[in-house]
Amino acid sequence: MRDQLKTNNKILAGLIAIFICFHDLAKAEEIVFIVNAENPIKEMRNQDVVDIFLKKKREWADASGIHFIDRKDGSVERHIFLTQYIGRSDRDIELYWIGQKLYSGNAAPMQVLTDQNAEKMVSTFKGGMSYVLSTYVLGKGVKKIMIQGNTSP
Amino acid sequence: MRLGWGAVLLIMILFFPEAKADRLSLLENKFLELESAQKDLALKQQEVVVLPSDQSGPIHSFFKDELFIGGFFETGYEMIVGPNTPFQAAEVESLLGLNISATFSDQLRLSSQFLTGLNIHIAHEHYDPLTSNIGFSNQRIMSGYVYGALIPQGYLEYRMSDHFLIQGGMGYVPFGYSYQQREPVLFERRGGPQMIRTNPLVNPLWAGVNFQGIYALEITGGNWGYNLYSFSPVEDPQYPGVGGRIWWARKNEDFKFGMSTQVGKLGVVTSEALGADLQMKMKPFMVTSEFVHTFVHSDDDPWSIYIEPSMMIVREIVLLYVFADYADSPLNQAVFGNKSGTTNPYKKWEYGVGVNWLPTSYVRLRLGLTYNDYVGGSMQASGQDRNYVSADVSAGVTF
Repeated sequence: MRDQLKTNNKILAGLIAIFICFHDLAKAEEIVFIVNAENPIKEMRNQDVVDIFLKKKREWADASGIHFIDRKDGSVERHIFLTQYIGRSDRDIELYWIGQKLYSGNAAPMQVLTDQNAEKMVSTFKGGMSYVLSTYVLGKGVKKIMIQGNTSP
Repeated sequence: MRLGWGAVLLIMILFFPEAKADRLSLLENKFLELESAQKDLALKQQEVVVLPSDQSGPIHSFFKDELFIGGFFETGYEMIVGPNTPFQAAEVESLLGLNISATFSDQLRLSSQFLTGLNIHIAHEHYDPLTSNIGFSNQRIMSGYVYGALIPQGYLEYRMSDHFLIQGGMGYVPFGYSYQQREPVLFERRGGPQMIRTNPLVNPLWAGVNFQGIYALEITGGNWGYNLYSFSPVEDPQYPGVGGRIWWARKNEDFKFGMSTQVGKLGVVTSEALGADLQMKMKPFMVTSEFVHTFVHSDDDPWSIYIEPSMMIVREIVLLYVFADYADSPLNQAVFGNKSGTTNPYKKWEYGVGVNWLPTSYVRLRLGLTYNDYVGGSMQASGQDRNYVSADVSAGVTF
């Protein structure tokens, strides 16, 4: 009986360890939004993120232009961005930009491969905005902003 | 670089054992500095390639503006047959579109589209055998080549804010969904609904100025927007017309609704067109529906309505659609552009089913079957049955 309890406890401990590991991994896969360090904005709504990405909103409060830097197709960061903040699939977004080619003449935002390049671009453009993994250590040229109203898991 | 400095350090250690630790530390720091500089250089190199044009690639503008170039190609093969229509089959469409956009600043941009194509059109599509009396074909028939090139869209845009921008030039009219969606790759059936093929319903191009804006909806989320534009009526371009549109879309654009209107000269009368459009997406389902009614102040106004439900039967790759599409065109001319007053009125339902295969988002391969059902007084003309069936295989590619 005691041996059985010990075995059960070991299994339980193992399951808890696995849960903690995966929970930490899941936590690691989050993104944060960054803007140029000179940008006075501190937070924005999820709807604003959608509008900026789709180029429906193209200027900051001071009327200066927004330069959104996207991430490469198929990257972890972009997958999180599309599923949790935009709520549309990669294909949906491609079809959207195909339509925009004629509707508005707008082109899809530039894409970069790494967190480092996203940071570099945002620090270069005063109106820059992008997203990086939450585990990425940010430099002085950019700052993190909070997103309100994101109800996705 | 790393190996080079490593070799230098190794040589120093081997041949100069008396080298002091602080000197080694100095060299190590130098090595780290150089490595850091190398990384910065790589990033700057990427900026040089990417930043000036906002896109990497071999095509650049002559000047310092951002240039975007893209387009589409569509080709279609069609077969038609009916009780009084002999079987015919032909490659009926080869159309190439080129879109060029140049952005001069955050506010100023040029956008244009150039179309060129070679078509075999169905002459006398809604045929009335009596028209042979005035020299037209007395049968629905696939006729010879029609080819041409035109610029349906070319405007300069000045954006004062997200809420207000001005476009000057001409472009596809913002009326409903299909009138302004002229990217063939996005149409589930080649050619789109009857309303954009029915003349006269809505003037297809705005010309002059087009004001538009977008507003965010703070409470419910999503956006609403407006258009206000001028146009030159096809029939009487000497009298400018005006049009407007107001639309609303949910945050993810899974629900869009709009209302549009146009007022302009149509022959001797001033006509008013009124339209409504709706698009809903609930994956894997989608429904698009539009309605337009043109008031010409007679007992018989032209109008059209369609509904097109579709479903992705293989996730985002294979789409199955059905449609029901009605058009009442009492002022249809026997030959487009004919001003002799010879009309060939008809009332027609189009029912159909089709499949789209999207191997990528940029390619749409279609197979469609349409039953063209003339109703009311237009079922027969001079004792001949006007109905016919058409099958269509087409491909649309965007780039």
